[in-house]
Amino acid sequence: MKIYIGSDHTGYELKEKLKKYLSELGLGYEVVDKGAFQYDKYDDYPDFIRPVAESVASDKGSFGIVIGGSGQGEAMCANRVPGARAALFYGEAVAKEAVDISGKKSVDPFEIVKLAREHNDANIISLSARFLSEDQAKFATELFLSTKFGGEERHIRRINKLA
Amino acid sequence: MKVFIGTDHAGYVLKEKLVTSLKGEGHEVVDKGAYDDYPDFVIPVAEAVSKDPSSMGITMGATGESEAIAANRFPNVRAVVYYGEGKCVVDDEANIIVRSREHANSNVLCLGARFLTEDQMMEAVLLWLKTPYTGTERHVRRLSKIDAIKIK
Repeated sequence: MKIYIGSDHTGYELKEKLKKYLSELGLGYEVVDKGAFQYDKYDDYPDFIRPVAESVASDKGSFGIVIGGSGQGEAMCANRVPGARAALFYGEAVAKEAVDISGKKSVDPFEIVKLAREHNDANIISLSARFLSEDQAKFATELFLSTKFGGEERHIRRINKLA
Repeated sequence: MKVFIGTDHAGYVLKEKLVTSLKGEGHEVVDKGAYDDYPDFVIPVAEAVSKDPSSMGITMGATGESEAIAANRFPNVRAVVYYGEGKCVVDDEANIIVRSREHANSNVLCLGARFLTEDQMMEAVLLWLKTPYTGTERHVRRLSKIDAIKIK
């Protein structure tokens, strides 16, 4: 599985750690780094996030990981690219209500990540370097990459309405 | 401030409360309805904000994620997600909502209604509406690079 990764200076350190972590998992993840290639506090996140989103959009079956301070601007930037579906993860949260139409309850603090894959077929995860620990970022990334899209008719219909 | 609001069925009751509350705060609220499929309420909100750069939009869905994916496909729309407080792990105590206004000049707030209490949503909306964009040169430059991405 091909994974494009990108971040500005804020997430540079976390990007380097995630690259190493994913490669060492031995799960066949091929990580393609879209920069930044060095720490430069004056760099601009769209210069790295846009290439990730464009690569994911044009390479069916691939995934993207983008990192920022909060991850909001990065998800916003990625979602401007048609075909990219970026979901933001900035921290654990437990659902107050059932998480889908069947009434399924969840106490999983990473449910946001799972739902983004199962319901929205998100192909990019946007991570917050300032709001996540390294362990949370690693866990969320692995969960995101290993969770399948549910493929239910209503979810497909909604995604198709975006086209 | 002109505020466009749309929600899925689950957010219908809260939307009515939010409309009343925001009108009470002096905002002009335009209701874009409640629908089952998120594109059916997000697209009208996003189109309206896209055409009127001084307005803002609020959506309510399960997680807020799909709504932000849909909204950000429109020019001039800067949609952000809020599903919980989050916790800053570095020393600056940054707040997700405040940051999204100050740095990203967000103009659409996508609430994850199944992960938030009504009070949390109301609080987030009021904080979001009153927090100004800093307009710092580096943020202006970065947002202009996002605007350079041609949509459709």
